[in-house]
Amino acid sequence: MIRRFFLFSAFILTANLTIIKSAASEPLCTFSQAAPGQLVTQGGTLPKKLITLASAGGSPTKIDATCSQSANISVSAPIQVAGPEFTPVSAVATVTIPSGSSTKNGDAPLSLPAGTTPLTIDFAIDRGRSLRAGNYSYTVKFTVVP
Amino acid sequence: MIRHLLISSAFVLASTVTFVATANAQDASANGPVADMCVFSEPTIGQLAVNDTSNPTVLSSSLAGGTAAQVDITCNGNATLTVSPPIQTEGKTTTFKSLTAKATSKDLVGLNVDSNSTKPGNININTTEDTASGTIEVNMTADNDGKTISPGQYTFTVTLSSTP
Repeated sequence: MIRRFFLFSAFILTANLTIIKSAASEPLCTFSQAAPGQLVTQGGTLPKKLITLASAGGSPTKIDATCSQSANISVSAPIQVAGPEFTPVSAVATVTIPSGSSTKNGDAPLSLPAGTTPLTIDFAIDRGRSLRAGNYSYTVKFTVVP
Repeated sequence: MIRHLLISSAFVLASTVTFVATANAQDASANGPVADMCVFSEPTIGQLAVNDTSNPTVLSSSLAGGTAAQVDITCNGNATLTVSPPIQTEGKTTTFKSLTAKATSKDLVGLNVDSNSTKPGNININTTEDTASGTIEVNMTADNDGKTISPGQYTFTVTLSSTP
């Protein structure tokens, strides 16, 4: 009984390792190194919003997704990782692909074709009142499913 | 043993599913600064009164009948407020013995600063929790050292500035 149990444990360990290895070596999509976007302020003399819109002087985050087959990508809301903490009244991340299709956090996933697709990610975070001075940083997470 | 097998299988499946879901997650970030700054509202002009209507030697907004000038300030970070001494901008040219100003605020705790012609007043505005906002009251006094001030309309300006 004990020996069978050990044997079985060994099997589970092996199975796990195998799965991890195959998942790590063949992910559905890989991403290039992201060049971080530039957040700029908007809204009044004492600004209330942080945005990456190029028309406001910011620059969106650019990242390439290379997928082995068509995939569906969804994006999280912007997550604050630096700067004076606050709870925004709205925080939106929008992912746009060259075809013009886009998705934002909470929306249906965006369909990516097999191959490399450049993604443009725009951030818009609204505090609803004046932002404290500081250096702010936000991140988003992508989730990819077949 | 069968039960062990079932439990172990369920564990393997659960861990595998979790792993696949996170294996394809990737972060993208954006960064940017918000500069320190303060904004002032349009000021409310104060009113000067005299110490003695028959023989005025002191003009002051602190005397009976006078009112302090007011201005609202909002800062999004720590700042230094500088208060200039009063500068005469209207009235008979007079070399007052002393020109002094005092800025105070009921809203901004600790804001109480004096300025005179030899030393402008400086005080820190600390924004510890959030943006700092409040009304600053500015009183000013022109003292002619016991000599009668010539009749006329007198105006003085005190300049408040913030850095950064």
